[in-house]
Amino acid sequence: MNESIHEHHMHQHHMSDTGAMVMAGIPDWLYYTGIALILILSFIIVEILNKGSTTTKSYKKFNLLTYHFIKRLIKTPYFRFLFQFPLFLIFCLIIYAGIAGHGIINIAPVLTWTIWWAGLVLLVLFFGKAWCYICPWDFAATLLQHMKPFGVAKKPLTLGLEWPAGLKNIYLATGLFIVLTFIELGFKVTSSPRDTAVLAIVILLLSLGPALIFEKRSFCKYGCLVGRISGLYAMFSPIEIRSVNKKVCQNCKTQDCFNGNRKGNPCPTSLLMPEVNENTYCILCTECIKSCPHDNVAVNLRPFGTDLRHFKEVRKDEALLAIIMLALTSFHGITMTEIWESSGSRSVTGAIKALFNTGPLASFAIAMAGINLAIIAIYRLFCTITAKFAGQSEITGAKVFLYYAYSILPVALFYHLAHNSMHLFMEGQNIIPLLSDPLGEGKNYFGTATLPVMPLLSDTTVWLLQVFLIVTGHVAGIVIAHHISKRLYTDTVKARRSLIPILIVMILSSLLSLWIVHLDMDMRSSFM
Amino acid sequence: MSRVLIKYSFLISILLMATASNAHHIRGLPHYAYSENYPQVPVVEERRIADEWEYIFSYIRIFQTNNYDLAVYIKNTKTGKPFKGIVNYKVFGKGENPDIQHAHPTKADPTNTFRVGWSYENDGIYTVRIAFDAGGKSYTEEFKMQVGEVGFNYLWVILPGIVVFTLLLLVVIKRLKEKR
Ligand code: SF4
Ligand code: SF4
Repeated sequence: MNESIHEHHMHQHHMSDTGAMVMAGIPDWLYYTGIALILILSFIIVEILNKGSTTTKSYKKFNLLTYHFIKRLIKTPYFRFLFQFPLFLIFCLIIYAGIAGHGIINIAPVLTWTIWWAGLVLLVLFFGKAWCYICPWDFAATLLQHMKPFGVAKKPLTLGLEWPAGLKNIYLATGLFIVLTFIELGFKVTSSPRDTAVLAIVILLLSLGPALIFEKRSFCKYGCLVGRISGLYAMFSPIEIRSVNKKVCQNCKTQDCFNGNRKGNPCPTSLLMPEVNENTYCILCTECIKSCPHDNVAVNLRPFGTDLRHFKEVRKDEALLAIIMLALTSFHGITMTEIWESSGSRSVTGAIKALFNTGPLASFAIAMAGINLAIIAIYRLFCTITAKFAGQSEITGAKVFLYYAYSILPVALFYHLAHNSMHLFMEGQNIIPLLSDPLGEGKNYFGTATLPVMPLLSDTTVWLLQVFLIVTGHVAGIVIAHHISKRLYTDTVKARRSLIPILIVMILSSLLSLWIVHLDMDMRSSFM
Repeated sequence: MSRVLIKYSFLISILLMATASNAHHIRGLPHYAYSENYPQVPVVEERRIADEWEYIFSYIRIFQTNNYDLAVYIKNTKTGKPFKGIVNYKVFGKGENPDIQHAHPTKADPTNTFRVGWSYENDGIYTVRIAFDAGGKSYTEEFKMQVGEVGFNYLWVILPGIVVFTLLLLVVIKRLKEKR
């Protein structure tokens, strides 16, 4: 850069209200109210649950397909296409804008990180795996393999190899999520249209490549980080696809939901309906609804958190992902605060730079690993304490880790929601001017390019919402932990004793969440 | 079989068309605001409130050169008065260490705006760091600016394209073998 001062021009400013880029954290009064609520509710809920809760195997559900128009719509071959195709076009727009548009003023990052990535968790909360139903990457793979945009394909184009046995778990997706978080925060890709486009291309390759190599949608089932994380969170959601009557399935000879027929494709994630007990691996594609000759597939509305109370068996990979989600989302929040990065060695990265004499990226990596491992280690330590405290020798700390991880999931999910609601409601409005000028070329297609835009919700509303979400996640976590304690320990006293250290972990993590939202957030660095 | 190939050539050409773009002239107009009194000169302007300060940051490309004028106006949101002390500017590119860049101290002009101008050797995205002291406290804010054209490495399109194309070819070969 050559330093040569020019003669400067005077110019008039036309201003629009874009709002603050640093969002103040929740005020003190709300912070302390939140802490009090968490402490008081913890004891009240435990007391109520101890007094009179019952653990039943069944739960209330309502099959939406009893409404014939809903069933007709879902069975219409092109119904899914009506959602997938527009999203596919938006996805193409993100790639095109990211490649060809302005390097800063560009619709690609806002659409990807502020609207989609932040909104995804909200979608999962209410609609479970709805994202997979409308997924544009799945559409691209279908188009390529079936050579048509919808309908049944007799022989999709694929080498049809079996997914490697060692990868038949969600570790690959978990690894990809950690890598994405590192790239996202370490390289700050969320503010870069070019990097966003590269990520979009990589994800397109990840959907097309494995679809051409492996049978069915193996990558969706095991490898897709979006699918797996939403799959885990969807255990909490109030929507499920299950058989109406398991006895009908038991007597079924054809098992068309698994094999497919001329009305519906085989289940892309190789699920046999009577064996579906949790939402984790179902991608809500509705093919089984079309193919079942006995009309024995239901789309049920059910209470929140059902799978977390009624899961058939614990899985190590799922339990680990639940704890990693808690650690990574908390870590993400911390990276946006002043304590993460500020001048001098007072910040986390500053201290690491000073301590190890490392560059910015290496310091980031060390801090990321340190914070995440610390959170996981603290949880593991409390699990050992729980096992000892409950006093049943065959139930080890490792077993407690696996079971109680399902009760940590709502805590992680609701903190994630609290964090994302800030992005969605404070920054989502940035899409309005960009709709008129998506490539930052100075266009004004719809007349909104210079429109003054205000955040969708006021600061106070977002703060209240954040505290409400964190407290809700905490309460849901306790309720689920209570159910789990009864599954884990047959002895009521031991079950109750095991709850105490877990309750402390939950209180600690909810207080950590409150503390993070109490700090001022730098909204420029990242959007998650 | 030839129908399959025709379908695939069509799909691939659509894919290539969608990703190929001509060199794009960046005019740098903002989504935040437009300074319409400079129809020939692009301006990016960003308004931000952080701590108790409101910032209006803008940059102007001096016609088609790589000279850019930067300007920041800083107002205290509590008192409503503009900041009049010294503002230090630091500009650094992607991968450049801001700690080894030297800061450029700037005084306010009669409109209470702090202005500097530099010419840039390389196109790209730069970070503009503005630092000042007020009331015994130090404040730092960063803004982004684009200089010239920001390219895209088309290998990111070509390599994945080759991978998908090769896989497709393998699938088609497998199909042909099965038919025989
Ligand atoms: S869902 Fe339908 S096709 Fe599948 S096993 Fe049950 S009855 Fe058979
Ligand atoms: S076919 Fe049915 S069970 Fe299989 S993924 Fe689709 S909706 Fe889920």
